[in-house]
Amino acid sequence: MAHRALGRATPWLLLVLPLLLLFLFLLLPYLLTFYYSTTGATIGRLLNVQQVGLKNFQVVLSSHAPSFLSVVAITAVFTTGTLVGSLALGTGLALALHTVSAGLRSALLAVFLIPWVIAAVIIGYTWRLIYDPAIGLANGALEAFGLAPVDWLTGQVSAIAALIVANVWAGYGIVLLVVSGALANVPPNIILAGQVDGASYGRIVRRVILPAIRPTFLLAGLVALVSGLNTFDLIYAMTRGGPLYQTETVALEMYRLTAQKGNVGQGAAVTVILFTVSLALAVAYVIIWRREARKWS
Amino acid sequence: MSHRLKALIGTLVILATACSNAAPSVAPSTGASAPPAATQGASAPAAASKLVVWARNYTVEAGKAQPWAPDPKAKLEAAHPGLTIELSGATSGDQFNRIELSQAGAVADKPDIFQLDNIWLGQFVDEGITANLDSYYANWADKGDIVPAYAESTKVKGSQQAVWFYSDIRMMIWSKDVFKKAGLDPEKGPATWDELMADAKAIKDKVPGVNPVEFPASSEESTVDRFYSYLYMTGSNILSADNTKAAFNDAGGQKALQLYVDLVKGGYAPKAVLSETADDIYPHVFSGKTGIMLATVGDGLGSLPDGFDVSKFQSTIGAALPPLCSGCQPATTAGGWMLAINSASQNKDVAWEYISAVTNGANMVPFEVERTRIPVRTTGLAQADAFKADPYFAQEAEAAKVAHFPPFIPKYTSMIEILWTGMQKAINGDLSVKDALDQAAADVDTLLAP
Repeated sequence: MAHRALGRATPWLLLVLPLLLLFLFLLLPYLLTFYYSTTGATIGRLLNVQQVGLKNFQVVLSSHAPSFLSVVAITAVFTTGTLVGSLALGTGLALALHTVSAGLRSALLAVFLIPWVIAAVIIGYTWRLIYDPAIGLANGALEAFGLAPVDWLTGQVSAIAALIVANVWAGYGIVLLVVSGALANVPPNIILAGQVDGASYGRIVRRVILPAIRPTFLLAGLVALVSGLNTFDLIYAMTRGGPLYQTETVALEMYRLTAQKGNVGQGAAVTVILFTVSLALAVAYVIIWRREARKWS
Repeated sequence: MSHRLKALIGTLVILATACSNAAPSVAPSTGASAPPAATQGASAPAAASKLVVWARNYTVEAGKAQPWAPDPKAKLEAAHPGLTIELSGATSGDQFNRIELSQAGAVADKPDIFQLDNIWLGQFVDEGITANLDSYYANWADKGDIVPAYAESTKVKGSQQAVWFYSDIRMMIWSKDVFKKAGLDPEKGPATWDELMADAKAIKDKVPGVNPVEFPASSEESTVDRFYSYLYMTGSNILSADNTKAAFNDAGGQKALQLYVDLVKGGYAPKAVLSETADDIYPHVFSGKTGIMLATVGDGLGSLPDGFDVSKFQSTIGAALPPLCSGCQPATTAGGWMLAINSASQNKDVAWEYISAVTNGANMVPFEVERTRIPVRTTGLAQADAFKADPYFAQEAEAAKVAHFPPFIPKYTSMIEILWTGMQKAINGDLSVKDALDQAAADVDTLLAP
């Protein structure tokens, strides 16, 4: 009897530690963030804080320096650029690697994944140096072609474009990895069939390979999308959201309010907004996924 | 991989990424609410057993000159049998975090003594973290040794709240190579704004591809920190005497910012300064891509690039006090680190005894020489021989006498964001200097309103 009870309890006992860790390091921070978003907590006062209801959300949404609308717009442009760039570069490289021998493919894959394993802050500072108007490589290259130097991180359009390029370089690896894995599972006979029918490689990619990896492509795209949405460290290292808040994204706004201004309540409110948007994306992803899965089954 | 598993993984990745910044780490900040003001300083029990000291990491680095040890530590422990001194170091951000969090209830451990950046002082006083040191200062023989410009700056709300540890000074630097190419005297930097404009014009005309002048104007602290010297020399100030209203938008403040705007408008400084920090510009000067940097942290050898020795440094870079406007007074800005006693410490007397021994001018010099920091004691500044390896110690020692400090207020980090945004609007040409500063001043007044 006792033996059977112990047997039934064993899985739960084994789960206690992981569940506790999950609660402490995942669920509790989530809950605290939601809690703090309705309080007047500051970094110097995290206990016995005043309840302010939804005031933090009201303040954040109506702020004018910078306006939350402009922050959202900048985030949308940056995220879209990151998504498109990462998908294009990651998929393009994966398709190119798919055409070479397995040994060479593994070696090149390892090389192409290097940016993905470097800390974003290091990538940010490296790209900041590349874009340096006086001693940077980017202007050095322009100069070599007789072109005028560009103040890459000063104007809004060039600064956001520069950030997107850096972030794509930092993050295309996950797309490359996921798409490469999916390509390995594409049945070679359908590609051979295309070749026998005389289709070019481009046509085979469009008509055979991409449809075959579509579900994985969707996953890679969503990961790239949310990664773009949450990028903080790289932007902070490169522009700190400036000048004149021209590159301030929601993730930076969250940091600025919480860590620089010490307003934990308002920072948490921005985090909750970001969480809600990400949750909406996750829900959309599940819905689309189910629709795709139904098609495939 | 099954479709369901993929869907699950995808969802988890999205949510985990979304919340990865849910509890951001903390850094210099403001904090208005707090316990009441600091307590009076004479409350030590008969025998302290442990003195906890939270210092900056490089001040306790093994194998390097340390102000804390070995002598001051050994002597204090010998004078108080059973006492142990527990020293720990942290980076700037971590130091701020652990001090703040020790008060917020998030960290059980509390220091007796802590090292603080001068710009944190107002906030810590406001939050009641620092002990009132008036009673200790009253009987302190060494207080007259502190350079007068510094001595008053540790007073907040009329009381002494900290002791200066060591300092750094803002200096103008220039590239001697660029000056030579422009036909200028490489040993003489511009001493006035008129000379600055003339030198900038000469560089622009004769040295293509080089920025005549640069100054940081990006969205971070060095923008305002390097601007203050030019503002102070006009007789202006950042805030009113009682630190409740903006003062930087007066005629002097406008004159100082107009200098920046004129340099950009005249093509002497690139608009790219809007995205440059002081750390970005420094290598431009060393590489001969920029002629003059209006202000940098004059820590001499502490900023030596790889491959530079003292003589190369001296033959490459010139340094002097920031150039003066007509009718202005010499001025520069100082930063640096202080020591304070925790208001909650039970060992305040012993803590003070240790601080007195550590900050003693003679004790500090070896550390300051090795780290090229500026002494805050008259006795330290007088030891020019000890600092002979620092090529610009003489200029730095002169600068210390006319040093000004940023206001030590609780909302300093929020205030400077408003100020640098105003500066950027004027430099970018979005607003006139007056309108940009007036707008910033109005926002600062709102921020500082009770």
